[in-house]
Amino acid sequence: MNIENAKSQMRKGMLEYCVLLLLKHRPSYASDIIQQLKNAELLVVEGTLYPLLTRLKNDGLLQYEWQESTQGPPRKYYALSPEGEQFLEGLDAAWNELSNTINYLKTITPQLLEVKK
Amino acid sequence: MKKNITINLCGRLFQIDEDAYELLQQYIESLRQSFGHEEGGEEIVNDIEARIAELFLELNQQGTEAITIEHVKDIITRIGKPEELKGEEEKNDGENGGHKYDSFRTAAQGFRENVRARTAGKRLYRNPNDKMVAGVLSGIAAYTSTDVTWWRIGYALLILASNFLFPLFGIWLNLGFFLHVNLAFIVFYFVLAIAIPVADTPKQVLQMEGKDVTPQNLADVVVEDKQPAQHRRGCLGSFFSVIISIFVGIFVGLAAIVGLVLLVCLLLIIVSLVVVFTVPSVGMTLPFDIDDLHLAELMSVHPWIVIAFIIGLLLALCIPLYAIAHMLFSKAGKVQPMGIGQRILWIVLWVASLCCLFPALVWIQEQEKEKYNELMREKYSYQGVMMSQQDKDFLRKGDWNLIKAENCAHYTYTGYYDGNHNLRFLDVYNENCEEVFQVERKEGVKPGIYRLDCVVRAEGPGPCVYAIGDSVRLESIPVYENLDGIPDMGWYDVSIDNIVVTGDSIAYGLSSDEDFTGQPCRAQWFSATDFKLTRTGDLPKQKK
Repeated sequence: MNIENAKSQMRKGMLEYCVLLLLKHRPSYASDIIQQLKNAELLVVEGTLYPLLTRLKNDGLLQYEWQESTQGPPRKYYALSPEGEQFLEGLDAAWNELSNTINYLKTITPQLLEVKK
Repeated sequence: MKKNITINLCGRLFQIDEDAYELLQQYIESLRQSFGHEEGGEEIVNDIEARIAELFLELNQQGTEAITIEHVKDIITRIGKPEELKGEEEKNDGENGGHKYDSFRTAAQGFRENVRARTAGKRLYRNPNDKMVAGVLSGIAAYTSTDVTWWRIGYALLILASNFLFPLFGIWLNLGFFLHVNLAFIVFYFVLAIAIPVADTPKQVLQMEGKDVTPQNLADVVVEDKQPAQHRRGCLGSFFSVIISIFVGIFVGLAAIVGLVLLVCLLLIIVSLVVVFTVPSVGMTLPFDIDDLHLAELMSVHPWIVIAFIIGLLLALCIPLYAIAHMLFSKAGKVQPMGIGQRILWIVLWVASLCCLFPALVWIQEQEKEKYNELMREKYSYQGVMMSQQDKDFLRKGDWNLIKAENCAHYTYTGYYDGNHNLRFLDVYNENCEEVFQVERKEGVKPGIYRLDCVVRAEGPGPCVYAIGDSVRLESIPVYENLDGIPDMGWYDVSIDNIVVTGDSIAYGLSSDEDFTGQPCRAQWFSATDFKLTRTGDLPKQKK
């Protein structure tokens, strides 16, 4: 098992959550999201996003509307659907748990383990 | 310099290099194949297309006028290969497939599968990236997944060894050209070089190597610069690169000239054929001596051979003409170069037309030769015996009848006994004394008694003069006496007296035929001349 593979597995798991987070505050179109994810150093290949968006949309978590662009083809602006907002809340909770777990496990020291015993 | 085209992507126009366009198309196509069968697949691809349009637009805004293959390659790396997008790494379980053959399988089956496995999904191209001369062997090596070194060594040995090997086959096949087989192998190489197209585009390089034509592989070819480039040459070729480019120019020029000549020939031949078949009796001299073949006459006897000849002739001219025209047009970029199948088809057709033309031509010429011989025989034969014009003239003028003429070197000779070298006389020669000769002349006479006088000579005993009146009278020619220095050497006057003729004719002549004279001929030569018939008296009156 190499590190790259492990990283990509972790990213893949998080990507969905991150996209929903990005769309929480304002609707965006794909290139926006890509830019944001790149800034957050999460995305390796851009194309990964498109199947994900389509899947989320098909699952009813996202909805989109077309908007004309001044400098390119018309854009699909994605936004969270009510279900998506609910789903995101669920994910938030799950992430917090997960985060706590990880933090706990990372800060744990041999001494602490000794005390617990 | 690259060809540039305009594409419409999501309602926007972009200038894009042709190779870049091909790569892009491959990429989108592979995405479509990858997502096509899942829900919303079409939508995903359309979204990605829109993204590509956006990236192109960015490039344009940065001042890029035409999208190059490098740009497309960057974009593909940025967006990702279809496999990456699917996110699922499907591990190939090809490892389990056995390379070992069951003990039941025969070696032949194994070999066939080996060949099939090696050539599967490949196309035969010449390899421009690894070539000594034209990349034929290298292409074959790539096609068969084998090492080109062995092919090269093998072919070189074949060329060298063919002189020793092929005479054996040559005798067996009765091939006349086996002395030139090493040349034939060299020519064969160039035939292959013409027939097999060169892998020009990255796509063809992949097909040659048997790799899937995927965007990633295409991009690899481009980036690794396996892409065929004009400046790459075989190590032999590089020495002659300048010369080669000059030769290419000369070759194109020559091809154009040859094409022109062929065209003129073709037109002349067509006109000539029309003349030959419509007004055969005109008898004028036509180009290429077509009139000498007497096609119209032969047509009525053996139409199929003449038709085969004409069709073969026309095809043999038209095919190279077409090939040259096609080459010139494709050099000018007006038409696509021929595919390998088309080239082979034309070559086969051309060879077939030659195979049609030459036997027919040989046959026709054979007919003509036969006709000529006939003519010659007529001209140089007297009563069915071949001889010189002078002999023939002499015999005909003398009204001589050839009864026997075997093993004679000549029939007349000059060097008359009186020293006149223009006069001819009967003279027969055979150095082994094997001549069998008899000539006879008939004269109509009144009944009476006659005497025959003649002047004769012979190298040895045997030959006779004779006269036939009521009975056969023979007179041997005396053997000559060698009187050196005297012009009338060895000549004798011979007479046959008291020839009784009750009929109305008398026959006399010269013979060395043992069956006739009753004595074997032992003379290398003998001569006779000045036959003269004289009436010496009336027939004795018979009592009633």
